This record gives sequence, structure tokens and C-alpha cells, in this order.
Amino acid sequence: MRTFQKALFHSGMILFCMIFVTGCWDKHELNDRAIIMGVGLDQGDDDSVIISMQIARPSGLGTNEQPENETGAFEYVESKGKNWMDAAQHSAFQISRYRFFGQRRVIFIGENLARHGLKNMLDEFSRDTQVRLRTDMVVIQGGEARDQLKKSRPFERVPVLSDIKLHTAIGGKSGDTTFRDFLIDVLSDGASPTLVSMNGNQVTGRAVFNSDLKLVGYLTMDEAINRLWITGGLKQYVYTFRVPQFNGLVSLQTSKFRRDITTKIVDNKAHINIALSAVADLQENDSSVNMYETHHLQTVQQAFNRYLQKSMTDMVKRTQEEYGIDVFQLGEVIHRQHPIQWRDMKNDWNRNGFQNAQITVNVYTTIKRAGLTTLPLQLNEGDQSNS
Amino acid sequence: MFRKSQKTNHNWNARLNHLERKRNVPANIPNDVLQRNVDANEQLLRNVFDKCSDVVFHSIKVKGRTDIVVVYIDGLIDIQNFEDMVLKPILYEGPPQGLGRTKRIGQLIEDNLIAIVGSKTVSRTDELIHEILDANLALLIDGERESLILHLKNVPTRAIQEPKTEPGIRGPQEGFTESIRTNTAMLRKIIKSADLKFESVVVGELSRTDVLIIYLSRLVNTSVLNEVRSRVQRIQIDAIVDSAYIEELIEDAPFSPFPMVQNTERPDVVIANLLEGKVAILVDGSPFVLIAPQTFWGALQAAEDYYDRFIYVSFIRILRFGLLWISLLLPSIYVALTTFHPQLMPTNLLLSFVAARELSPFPAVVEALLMEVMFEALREAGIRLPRAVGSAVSIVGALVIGQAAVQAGIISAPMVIVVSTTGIASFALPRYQFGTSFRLLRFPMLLLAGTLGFYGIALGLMAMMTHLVTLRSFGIPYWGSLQFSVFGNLKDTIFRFPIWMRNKRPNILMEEDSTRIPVGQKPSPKR
Repeated sequence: MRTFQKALFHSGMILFCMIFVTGCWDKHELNDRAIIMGVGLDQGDDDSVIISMQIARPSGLGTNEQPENETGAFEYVESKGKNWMDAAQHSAFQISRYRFFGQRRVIFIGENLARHGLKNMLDEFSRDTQVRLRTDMVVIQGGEARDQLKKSRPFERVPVLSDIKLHTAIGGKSGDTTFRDFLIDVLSDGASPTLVSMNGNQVTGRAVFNSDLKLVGYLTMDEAINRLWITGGLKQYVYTFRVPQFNGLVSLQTSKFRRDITTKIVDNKAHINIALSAVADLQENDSSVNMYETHHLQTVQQAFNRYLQKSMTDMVKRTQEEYGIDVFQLGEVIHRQHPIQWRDMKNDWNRNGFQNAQITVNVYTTIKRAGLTTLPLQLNEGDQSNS
Repeated sequence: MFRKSQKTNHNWNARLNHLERKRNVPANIPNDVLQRNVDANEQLLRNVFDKCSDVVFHSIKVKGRTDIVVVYIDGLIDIQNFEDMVLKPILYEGPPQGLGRTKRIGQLIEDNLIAIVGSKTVSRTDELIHEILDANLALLIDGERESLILHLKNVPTRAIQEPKTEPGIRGPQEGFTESIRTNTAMLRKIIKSADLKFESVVVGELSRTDVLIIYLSRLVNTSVLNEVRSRVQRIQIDAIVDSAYIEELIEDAPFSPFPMVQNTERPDVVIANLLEGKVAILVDGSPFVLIAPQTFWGALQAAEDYYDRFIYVSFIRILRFGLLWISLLLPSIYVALTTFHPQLMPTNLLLSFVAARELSPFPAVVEALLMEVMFEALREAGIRLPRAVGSAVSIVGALVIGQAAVQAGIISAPMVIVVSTTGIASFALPRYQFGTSFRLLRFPMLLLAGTLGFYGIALGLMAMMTHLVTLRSFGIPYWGSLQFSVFGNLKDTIFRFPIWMRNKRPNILMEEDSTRIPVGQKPSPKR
């Protein structure tokens, strides 16, 4: 009984002491906080940086009120500084409340800044205790980040959420994890970071960064989708292509994407074979071919494979020649498959290794269904050509 | 230290024994034998019952002189029976052989005249007085050194009604009354076995209340039984008005916010608990029967759980378990989220909160405390008020507090939702007293959340859980049925297993004979 009381006393004391070990007493009422929903980062003139913020305006958030200006219940604030913390400090002169970054959902990066490099920005954002990793990052192709924050969005009450949802919709992954994934890519030797790029309300593709975190170029939207297949994030997509034999366009709803990457190291040179497979449903058939015939479907399937193989190979070739940067995380695959050789290769991977690698892409898709109707409705029974 | 405590114990026992001896003989009652002269005895009783206007002395004259004096307390005696069975035979018919010829008139009356089941003779004055006070009728007979006591008790009682505090849709609908005999009858009616024991202890110097310790002799956990017995026998008090007095005097952790003894108004609940080896304490004059030991999980079990279909009941149990934590934590979580950790909320939810809280002048903690106090006030007023005024309270509560405060911008709408959800959750617990303890703990939790955020809530929960696991009710761990090593004990906790699967009694209380229902009784059309 005595030892028990002792234990009770001790645990009570420990609990009491724990009241004082808290580091930060982060108590701010909701109506004393300025909730920053999104941040825009831009390169200013003469080496300065500009930080712009979209802040929720509580009085406009109620369900009954009509939004007064274009961005609805959200205020736009912009400030300039020598570096990021400086600019953020200057924003405090304009905002009467405690600036709360914990709900910041998106970081927009102006193209100018992206070309200058993101190193300073990453330093600040990874040091700040308030920052959360669940943040989307978007490069504004051919524009400034602050303009993106001023725009209204057609569907969303919270404008910045629109960008996250768009990103999620085309990216397959949740946009929330972008900042974390970006940091992982930055730290890895076998992948170089890429970010989704947008212009206005439209997703334009993917921004490619080199190892100095400077923007070197973009992947187009089609390339971004193809890249996503290779990196394993694609969930479903509708491919539309011309079938030369039938002289018509065909759309295939494609899903169940799989990839199988095999690597070989020959004389310190990487041979990479990417085998891609997917399942497709015929969704639109603009040619005058009866898809009820199995061999016609097989023709479409072969054309689809050839089309994909060509666009994939072109894309890989373009990134190799134009950027020389591994945007497909292939280095990580080599790292996993040949960990010992990788030690010698990793330092050179993003300079020459990827550029010199021999990469082949093979695509194997199967068309499973031809949709509800077999014959295009606009054709009569006798019209079908039998090519 | 140990030796010292033993010594004090010893002294305490000595004192107890002394008091024990003293207790049976209250000071103003003469401790003597009865006289042969009836007038002397009557005078003695008249002295004792001086100014007790409800005590009736009724002299019956046979052959011109006072032979018999009847003493009883008016209102506690079945007068009709007394007249028919006692008075008429003596007055009209007389003793069969005539008074003169009998040797002992008392014997004669007892044997031949009185058609009453319960009768006995007493010869000591203090006994006589107790019997009269215990609603019996005393016949003082001239020339006898003994008095005849007739059991004609007819104490006014309430009829058996539905249990008001534990209503149910299915299952037995009768509740205990204030009469101890009615109550024991209701229990005996269910268990027709000599195993059901009612051990009687008299407690209270003035009230001399009958306290029955009830158990099933074959199943009861003897250590619990001994503990209950010794604790009840140790009680020294002037009067017991309700079983709550007993509860406060026998519970293990009087300063704990958690109830250590269960109480119930339903005979079926008592029996179900006895069948698990527990002990019940029935107090005369109280419809609330105590059950010991109480465990945490017992607090989540309603009587109806065993009458409804088990799948539904399991769902309700999970709901209740969730509501338990909601009733404890919801306001604290709301305060911690909005003032400390808004980053943990979904963006749209946060924005709704922001919009709603924009105008409120108080910090969230103060707002929560205000509303909680207001809610408790409404609840309290609703209970104490005469029923006719009750609706006024709810109108004022709902309209004035709920709507006007929000419209005026003094209280934010989410806070009203949070507080009312919490209130409903705390009422959803089947044991009212258990709900009260959680309702009480809500306030320290709220203060912790308001000062330290989630960290404070975690500290508070740790302290609470530490306290809970150290509690013992009559030697049985409060959190005890959660021994994960014994799966059988878990069959009646969060999930209520069907009765054909609960083959063993909860072994935490069982010493032997733990089989309850033989295996293999799963109903099936094949058999």
C-alpha cells in the first residue's frame, strides 16, 4: 500500500511538472487570427522578394452575405523585403491580427522566382515552426504568383482550394502532399523535383527543376500525364488518338495503370526498360469501323500501344536531351535495384548519368470493353467498311 | 508504520464494541422486566411515550376491572384486523372457559382466541418498547409478567410503480417501493431458491432501520460479502433516511468523482447483478437498492441491454462509449482546437467557425464556461421546480439562451451546438450518477484545455485514467472487467454478446461455479 501511494504521489508530481515543460504557449482566439489561406512568392526587382498572401476575411465568410469583391471573402496583402522573413515581417505592418500560417494550403511560385531558384525559400519554409507539410506548391507558368492570388475561382468558396483540387484531379495524388514530396525529391539523388504548373485556372503541365532548384523548363500536359504513369500516380485518363488504318479518332478510357521498370548497369551506364500496362475501354469511336469485330478492336489496341510508345519515347528523349534531368525518379529505381553500383553513380546521375542512360519504353495495353453499342449509331447496317 | 496502524485499529475496535453494547440500549428506555401489575406496566409505557400523541393506549375491561391494555402506534396497525380478530372475540365471546378458570390468560388468548399469524411474548420493557415502535401491537395483561405482541403491521406504502429513474421499453416494468417487505417479495418472486439470502442488520440509533444484505450464497464472492457486511455493521449513525446514507458510509474512495457503489430502482437489475456474484444492500424506506462492487463497465450497462437484440445493443454500447467521452471532452476539444490548434481543422470547418466566432466578445474558454454553467443551471432548475413551472424553464432556456444569445452576438452558434451536444451525451449514460461525475470532470478539463490546449487535455486524461485504474470497489478493480487476458470478461463490455455465448460468469468476481449457461445452446432450426 505504501509503495502504491508513493507511486501515485510520484506520478502526480510528474503530471504537475509536465505543465511547465510546454515550449510555446500558442493561445490566440480565432477572432484574433488572420488565417492565411495561400501564399504567393515572387522575385521583385533589384534582388528583393515579394510575398503576397490571401487571408480569410471573417466578416465576409458568413453564409448569408454576398461576396463584395472578386475574391469573395478573402483579402489580398502584399509586402516586399530583402529576403522571405523580411518580407513576411513587413506584412505584419499591414495586418492587424496574428498571422497564422497553419492553414496555408497553397504556395504559388512565380516563374521569375522559379528561374532564380527556390533554395532560399525552402530554407525559410523548412525552418519555420508554424509551417505544415500539408501544402500544395504550384509554379505559375509565364506569370506572377500574386496575380494568381487576386483571381476569383468559379467553383470554390475558398479560391486557393480550387488549385489544390485541380492538382489532385489531374495528378492522381492528393495535392496536399506536394510540399513533402518536393522536399523528398530535393533530398534524393535519384530524382529531381518537379512541381505542377498552372496559368490562371488552368493546369498547364509540370515545371522541371535542376539540382540547384532552378526552373529549367516545362513538361506539357500530355507529357505530365505520361510521366505520372511512369512514376506511378496515374489513376485514370482518357487518351484520344488517330487510328491510321481506320482514318478516324478513337478515345479510350484507360485505367489500372501498372509499370514495371527493370534496370541493368553495363559499364557504369544504365540500361532502363520501362514496361507499362493498362486496361482500356472504348469510349468514342469516330471512325466508321464496326468494333463488334474482334480483329478491329485488336487493330485499335495495336495502334494505341504504338501511339503511347511513341509519345513516351519522345518525352523521355526530350527530357534527356533538353533538360538532362531525371524527372521520372528512375535513379531511385536503380538505387533500389542496384544499391552497390548506385553509390558510384549517384553523384553524377543528374548531370550525365540520366542523360546517357539507354531508356526503352514498351507499352502493353488491352482493350477490355467496346462500350454499350458496337456499331457507330450514325451508320446504317450496310455502310460499314471492312478494311 | 504498519504496526502503528494496527494499534489504532485495535483501539478503534474496542471503541466500536463498547458502542455496540451501548447502542442496543438507548438512554431513555428503562432496561427492566415487566411487572405483574398491568397498571404499573401501563404507567411505565405512558412515561416512555410521554407526549407521543400517536401512541394509543386502549383498555379493555373484562368483568368490571381493567384486565387488558392494548398499546400500539396509530396509523401503523391494521385496525380493521385488530377489531375483527382481537377485540371482538375478547369482548363479545370471552374466553371459552371463562376467565376465572384459566391459569394464564396470555397463553389462553394466544392459543385460542387470536387468529393472527405472527405473535410472540416479550418479558423485558426495552424489548416491548421496540416492538411497539416497530409497528406491532402489544397486549398488556393483568397478572402476567409477559406481554403479548401481535404482528398487525400495516405501514402505509406506495403501490408498485414503474421505476422513474430507469424506465425501459422492454422487460419488467416494476420498480422498488419504500417498503422493505414489498421489495424482498419482488426479489424472491424472481429467484425461487433458498440460495437467495437476506441478511438483516439494524442500523441507526433512532431510526433502527432494517438493512438487508442480499446475495446468492452459492455465487457470491465471499471477500466482497465479508467486506460489505463488516462495513455495514460498523456504521454508527442516528438515523438512516435513504440508502444514500449507507452508500456514503461504506464507499471506498469518498473523494473520487466516480460513484463506487451502484444503485438501482429495478428488481431485475439487482437479480442480474446478484447472478454475477455481487452483493446488494436493501434499506428500509428507500426504493434505491445499492449494489457492490461497482465497475466502470457496469456504468455503461442499462437493464434493457439484456432484453433487446444483441446486435442493436452492441451498437448502442459503442454509441454510449463514444457519448461518454463526448460528454467529458467535447467543449474542451472545441476550445483547444479553436484557440490553440486551428491547423488541425479542415479548412472549410475552420472558416465556418471563424465566421461564427467573429463577433463574440469572450475568449472561447470563458464562452464555454458560461454556457456550461448556464446549462447546468437549466438542468438543476428543471429538476427542482414544481412540474407545472418546468415548461417555463425549457422555453426560457431554449429561446432566451439558445437563440437570443447567438443573435445578439454574445455567444457563438458553434458553442451552443457543442454545449447542447455535450449535455445530451451526458444524459445518454444509463447510470445517472455516472453521468454526473463526467459532467463534473468536464470543468477541470475545460480549464486545462483553455490554458494548455490539447496538451492540457492529454494531461487531464492521464490523471483521470491513473485515478480510474487505481480505484477499487470492495477490493475489485474499478476498471477490472477489462482484463484482456480473460476474453470471457469482455463479452459484456463494449459489445454485448448473445446470451448463449456468455457461458461463464465474469470471473473477476467468481470463486467457483462460473458456468452460467452450458455451451451449445445456439438456437438453430436443425435441432
